[in-house]
Amino acid sequence: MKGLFTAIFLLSASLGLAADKQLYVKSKDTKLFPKSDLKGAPVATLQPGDEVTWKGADARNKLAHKVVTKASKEGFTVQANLTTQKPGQETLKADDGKPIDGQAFASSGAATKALSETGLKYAGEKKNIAELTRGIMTAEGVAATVKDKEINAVATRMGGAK
Amino acid sequence: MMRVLFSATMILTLSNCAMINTLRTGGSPAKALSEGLDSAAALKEGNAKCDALAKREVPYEEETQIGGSVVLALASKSGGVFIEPSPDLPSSAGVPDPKKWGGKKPNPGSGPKTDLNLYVNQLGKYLARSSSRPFIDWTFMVIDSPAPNAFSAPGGYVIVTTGLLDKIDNEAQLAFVLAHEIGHVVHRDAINQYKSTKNVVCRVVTVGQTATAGSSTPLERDFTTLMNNGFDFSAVGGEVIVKITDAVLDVIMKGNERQAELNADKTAFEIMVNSGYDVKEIEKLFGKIPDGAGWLTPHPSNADRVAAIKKVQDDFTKEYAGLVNLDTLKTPANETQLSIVKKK
Repeated sequence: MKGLFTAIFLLSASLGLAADKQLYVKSKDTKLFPKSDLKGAPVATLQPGDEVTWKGADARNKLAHKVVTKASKEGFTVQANLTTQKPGQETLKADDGKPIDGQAFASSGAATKALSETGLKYAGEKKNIAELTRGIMTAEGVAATVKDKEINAVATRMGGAK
Repeated sequence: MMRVLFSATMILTLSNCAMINTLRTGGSPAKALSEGLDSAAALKEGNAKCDALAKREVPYEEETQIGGSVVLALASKSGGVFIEPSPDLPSSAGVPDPKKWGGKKPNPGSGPKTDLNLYVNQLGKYLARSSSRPFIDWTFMVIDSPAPNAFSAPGGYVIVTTGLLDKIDNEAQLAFVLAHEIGHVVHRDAINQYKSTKNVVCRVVTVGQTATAGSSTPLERDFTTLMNNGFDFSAVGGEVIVKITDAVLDVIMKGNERQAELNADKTAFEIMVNSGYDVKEIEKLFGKIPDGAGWLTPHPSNADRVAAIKKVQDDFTKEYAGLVNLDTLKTPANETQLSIVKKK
């Protein structure tokens, strides 16, 4: 029995284990690798918002973190693909009124915006903010050009696995 | 307690108004009393609707609609957008037609100002991935104003001024500024102020309609339309939009509650850590921004905020021991991107 406890302790230490914590995937197509060298065929590919249980950093490769998916797949990824912030729910329209999870919201196509008709009506009443209004509309155009590819470039620069 | 007193006072006032009106027009006291009680009942029913309105979740569609007018109102307190003009929009044709341009994104122009906005969007959207609202359509932009300031509006708008960018040394400091504003959007601070404003306007309209036995001004009619159509602003004129937006702006300009600021700082800390940015830069940034400089005012003192963030850091490192080595977080330089706003 004492040997079993020792074995569990050593195993925990080798993984640098803290208590199990819920983390959330933030990078698209995050791959879970079978070993802490982060090589080989992925055991799973996860999407933003997916919940995982964090088991801790690997003792040999501190950049590799072991996680377990809700489908009980175990694997390693880098911390930069994870976040401690749980994605919240969103409500789409007033008539249904029920919050839905972020992934359903994203795939609904409703998660887009530009300067609204309401904003333009406001600007029309104010008279003296036409140039500002065109500037904000243009800024929306700039924001729209920043997609996954451009965001992933920052993620890669900051250590995300891409 | 205050609300009860207010409601009771209004009911008595309206009852008296009905009685006085009836007496003035020669009606009987009994009829006057009956009309007064009807008014009280109508007021109670109206206020119940207002309470329900204040509790109702604001859907994303409504958030982006009101966000558009709030971001304009906020930005109009500063300067123009620091950006080259879009070739799609004529430069002197007034405000684009809401029916034609509402919800449309013109092609951006090109130039160093646009490049700066591009950079701020790339960084901001990367940070937002680590937030609890990663799926909304975020827009980050730079406003041409010497005042060091940053603010946010419903729907995922984050604005930073050229004056604040001038004070920033590196990308980690900018990450904190943007992540703090992301925090406000995530916590729906402006949306909560919008909900409170709707409640107040609703009560004013209810009192007005009750006191005038159902007759309404155009403004009251538009607000009633919004109440009945789930706040679809496309069905109303600009006047009610201005009233609601400016009322929300007044509340926003008074600043968030102290706790809201500290909560946004906590969220910003976690977003920075999750995104790989060195949190030691937060304290350095606070050392460069004077208290009450207009940045996120009114808020706790910089010293209080630094102390609160240190507590957040202690809690985080205990809760997530081994997740992140805070000593290895990065502080990328960004001289190239920010050179256009740096004072020589």
